[in-house]
Amino acid sequence: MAAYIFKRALIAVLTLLLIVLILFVLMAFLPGSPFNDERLTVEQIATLRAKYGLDQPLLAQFWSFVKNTFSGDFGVSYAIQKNVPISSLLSGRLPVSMRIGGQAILLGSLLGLVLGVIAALKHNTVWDTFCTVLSVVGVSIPSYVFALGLSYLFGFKLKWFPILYQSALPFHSSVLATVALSLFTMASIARFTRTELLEVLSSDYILFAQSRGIDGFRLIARHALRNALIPVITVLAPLVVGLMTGSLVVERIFSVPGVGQLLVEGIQANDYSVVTALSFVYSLIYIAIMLGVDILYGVIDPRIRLAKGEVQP
Amino acid sequence: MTMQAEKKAENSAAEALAAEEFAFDEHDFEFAAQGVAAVRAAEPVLPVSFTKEALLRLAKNRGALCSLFFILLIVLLALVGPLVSGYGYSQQLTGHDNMAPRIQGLEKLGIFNGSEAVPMATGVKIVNKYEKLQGGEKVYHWFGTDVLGRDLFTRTWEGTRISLFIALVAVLIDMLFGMSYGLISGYFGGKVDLVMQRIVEVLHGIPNLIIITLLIIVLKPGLPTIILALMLTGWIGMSRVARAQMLKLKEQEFVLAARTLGARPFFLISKEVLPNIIGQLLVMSMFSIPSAIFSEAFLAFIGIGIPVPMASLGTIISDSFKSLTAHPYMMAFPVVVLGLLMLSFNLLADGLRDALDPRMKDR
Amino acid sequence: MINTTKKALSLLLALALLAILAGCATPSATPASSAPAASAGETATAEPESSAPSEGGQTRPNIVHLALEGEAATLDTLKAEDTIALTVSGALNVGLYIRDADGVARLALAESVDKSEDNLVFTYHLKDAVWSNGEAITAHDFVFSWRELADPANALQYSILLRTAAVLNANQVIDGELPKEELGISALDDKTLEVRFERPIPYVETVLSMGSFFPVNEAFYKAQGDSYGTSPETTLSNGAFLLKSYQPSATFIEMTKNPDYVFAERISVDGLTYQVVKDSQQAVLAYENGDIDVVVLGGEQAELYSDAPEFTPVLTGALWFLSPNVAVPGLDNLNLRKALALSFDKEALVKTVLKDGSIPADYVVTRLTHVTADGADFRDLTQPILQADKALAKEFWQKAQEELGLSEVSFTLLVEDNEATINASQYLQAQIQENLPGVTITIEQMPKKNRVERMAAQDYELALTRWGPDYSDATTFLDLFLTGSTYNYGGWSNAEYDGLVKAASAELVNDIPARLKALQDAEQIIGAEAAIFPVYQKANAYLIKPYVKGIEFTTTGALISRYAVIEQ
Repeated sequence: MAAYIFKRALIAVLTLLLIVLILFVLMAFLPGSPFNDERLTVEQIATLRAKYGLDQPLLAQFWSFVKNTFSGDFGVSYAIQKNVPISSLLSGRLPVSMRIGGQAILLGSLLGLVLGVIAALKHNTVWDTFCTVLSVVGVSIPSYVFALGLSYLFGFKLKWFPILYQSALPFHSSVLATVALSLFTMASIARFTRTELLEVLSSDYILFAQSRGIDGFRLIARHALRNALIPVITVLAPLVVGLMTGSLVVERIFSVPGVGQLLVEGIQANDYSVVTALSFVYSLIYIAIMLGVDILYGVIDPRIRLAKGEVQP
Repeated sequence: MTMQAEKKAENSAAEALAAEEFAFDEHDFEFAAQGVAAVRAAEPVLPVSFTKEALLRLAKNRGALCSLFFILLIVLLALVGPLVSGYGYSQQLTGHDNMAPRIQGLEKLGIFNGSEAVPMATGVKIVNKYEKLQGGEKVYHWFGTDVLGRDLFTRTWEGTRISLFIALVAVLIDMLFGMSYGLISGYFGGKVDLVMQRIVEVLHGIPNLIIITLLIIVLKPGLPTIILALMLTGWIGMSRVARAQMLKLKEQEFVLAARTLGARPFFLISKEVLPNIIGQLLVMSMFSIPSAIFSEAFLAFIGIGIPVPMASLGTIISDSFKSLTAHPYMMAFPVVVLGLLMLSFNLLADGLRDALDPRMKDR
Repeated sequence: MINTTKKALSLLLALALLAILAGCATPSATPASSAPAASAGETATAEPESSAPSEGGQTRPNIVHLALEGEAATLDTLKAEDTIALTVSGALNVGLYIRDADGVARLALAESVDKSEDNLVFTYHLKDAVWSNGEAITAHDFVFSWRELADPANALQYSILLRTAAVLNANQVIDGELPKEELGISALDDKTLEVRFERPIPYVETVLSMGSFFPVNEAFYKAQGDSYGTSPETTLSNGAFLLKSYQPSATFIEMTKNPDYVFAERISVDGLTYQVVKDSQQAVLAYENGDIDVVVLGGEQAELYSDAPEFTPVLTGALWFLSPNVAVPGLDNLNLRKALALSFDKEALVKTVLKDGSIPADYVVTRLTHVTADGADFRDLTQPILQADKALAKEFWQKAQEELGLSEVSFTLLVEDNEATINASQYLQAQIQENLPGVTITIEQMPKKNRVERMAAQDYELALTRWGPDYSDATTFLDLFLTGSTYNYGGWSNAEYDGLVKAASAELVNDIPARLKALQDAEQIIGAEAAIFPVYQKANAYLIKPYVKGIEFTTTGALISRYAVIEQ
């Protein structure tokens, strides 16, 4: 197992490097430059490009990024924050995005799981339809509409929560953003748990378990849900990455100082260093989670026997 | 693996094994060398064909039928709606801005009569723009108009057209490419899986937005580019699910049995595994419809969507979002159409799942 | 066996949940304790009483809460270039001059100024003002910042203001032909600053009141390096307010009154906050909830509040216009340009689409920009140009069709992607296509910076673009369209025009009536040639809480918060 994890980790690092390299190549295709303020002259733009090493060949830029990144230095932002070190930009913003994303995943997957289980157990009843409608509505309403609705109802009318994020009240003021973000997760998990569980419930070993007199909660929790979990985790994993690295729309609406907006602003302003640093963080989280999921598969369902299958092919 | 883990695995495997009911068939003990033909022969003889039976089962499902009806209705309206309204989708009528819905007949009931309650800062004001408009008594905008005085009925159906098209392509790519990719990767496992999953990881490890933005900026902005950009990474979710399903199923006894009998991979995947998982995959692909539609709307949100004045459901919703507190009707209709579409697709998928599941036969 | 499986299963479930939790629980612990908007490393930051305005409290905190539409790109006065950065750094800093609501530049950090008879040498005697770290503000701080501004190695876009002010040797220093020490600024002693000019500029004081000319403390600035302006500890200020909490790109900024500010007695509030709100509907909800005292309204909100007593439309100096690239075949045709310029109804655009108080523009030099010594607005003295006239537009279009030998033309219109501009451009598109049958306009939307870049590369046909005045003189607009001007993206060129505008900054500088006449004539040439198609002059519709008084707006539309008063 340890050898397997080591091997997977090594591959993960190589994948990460490949991603960063591809990013550099992609960025080279982006038309325009980060130095595009209205009043800059051609000479000034050339000076700035030289100052930040953007006149260097692509591979040299890539290499210096890799070197600097391993020493914890992401360079400075060119455009959206003039000359500010990106590490200081991230250290303030990334934790906020990750926390709110984490809250949303937690809330969404718990609610989704409950809804999904109810729908599956009460298959083809009013409850089932209710859960289906709820989860479909969940994916059909754009998150910004839902967010504005929440903020109007709970922020403006009822005044339960602040409308805008306040760093002095980090949890209280992030509740609305969390709920708005969790909607999609909840809906996806609910729908998926339902189909999975239905599938599992009709399988022979559940019938067998039932015939052995195991029923009710124990049957669901121990035998059925366990098998239904694998595909659910598969769906959850990419959502986790997306949510942890911030949502542009929800962050924008609730004025959350997160990284979701930074990426879009970085792309629009051609702020390569910000985009690369954020993508790097994104990829890092993504690959870490995928690695975790692969290992989890093996743990949850021994029949997959990833470890055995891959260490000794 | 540690000792305990191994023991645990053994236990559950034994349990799973014990749980299976073995119903041996006389052909089960034929030689593997007989291959595909033998496995085909081993399939129980069905009184009616699989497809026909599935359709029959679908027809019994009222929810699914209802959904099918709504989908067809929406498709029909998307096709003819823009033609019957009498307005062009980009036609701006002077003085017709922000008009509330007004429908012949219904207006006599006091609803959809063109008046709306505008929540002015100084109090709610009932406004009926049709009355102020010269010759306004003959004007009807069934869904109202937007801030530029464009007929929203026309725009909603025009937008539905484009959104449906995007959804269709999304599902196709999902089902064709994403599914095959995941199944192949999961089935072969080992090195094949390793390489294929690393490709997915690299593709997915780059934030989607960067790939999409880049494509749209480099290529000419427009519907084909947007679809290409969305599809480039859109299939990954499906491939992951398909792979996970395959991983789960491939060591199950019926697959092992077929493999022992010498079935070829393609046959195994398409005839043994696919029917068992198509339900989940269908449901999954239904989810790729809203995500495709909203990805497109999101692109509009950051300014690289469908070129104005063209519209999609997503762009109409995100445009009318800006006037939500002032004129909620602008968003109501496209959201209802979108919601109905989503609900129908999902219920239909559920019905299909039940109909296609070979194990649901006897229920 | 059942027990083992049971155990194993509960373990697995717990593990799966933990894996999800682990990702979020770990980082969430950090921000909860050290609030992110607070300065790094500072522990005593959780002071909810100051940041959360209490609703219905006994006394209203004497703090004004303002909204920003985006994050400030920098707090460094040298690098501040966009409206938001200028607003924030303007609240923190002051220079030789300060410009109030009337647009007149008054001395701020300088006690007095001695001007030479030819107006080429200004000698400033500085007040005894201090930086927020207690150090005295000296003439050397000005010398340092001006030289930094001019230094070609820094490539600062507002170095152009040194050229505008005609500071001695500015052109040569910025172009790298002379060392920055040759710039016409020197410290005679700690409290005496001498500035030399190449030629007298009548509006030079309004130019020098801009943020780029603010002093910078060299020792502190250099010691902080890249971290300058990223937190209260790494920021030095001398203006009406001091930074209390900030992090790079903060969405919430707190400031407190600066007791050492040169005009401290005029500051009534104890502090101010800036809250970034990008969604206009949320901004209004936050305003209604009392979280924000002053808010800018988007189009539809403006309509809802149009009859509210706190509704305050404020005209800015910014002109929105269509810029034709005259190098594009078709747009080189005068009649086609005129047809396009006259073909859209500007009045309906501002009334039905923008609704924020913007006014139709039949001019280049905007209202409020150029006010003569006797208080008359340049606009009231000058004839309008290119007034919408659909019939005339059709005639020009017919002539153009004959001259070009074409019945149809199509152009791409570059537009930046914000709500108001996109709506305006769709309106213009529909109007032009309706009134000039045969003309097709395709809209291409993109972020503002990309639009500017495409225009600068002359890679465009038509663009909806804006220009805001940098200083209070007609030349801030008219200089744009000089042959060879960096911002003359359309490439239009007219020798007579060049002569008139250049004369206004040279030989006619002291001959006020003749200068005015030259500027007026120049604007008429733009009209006659349809060099640009003016569309509207932008206004911002504000909501200001009734208990907040004293919010002022500069003649260019920028908000001045320093004289705000909170009434109890």
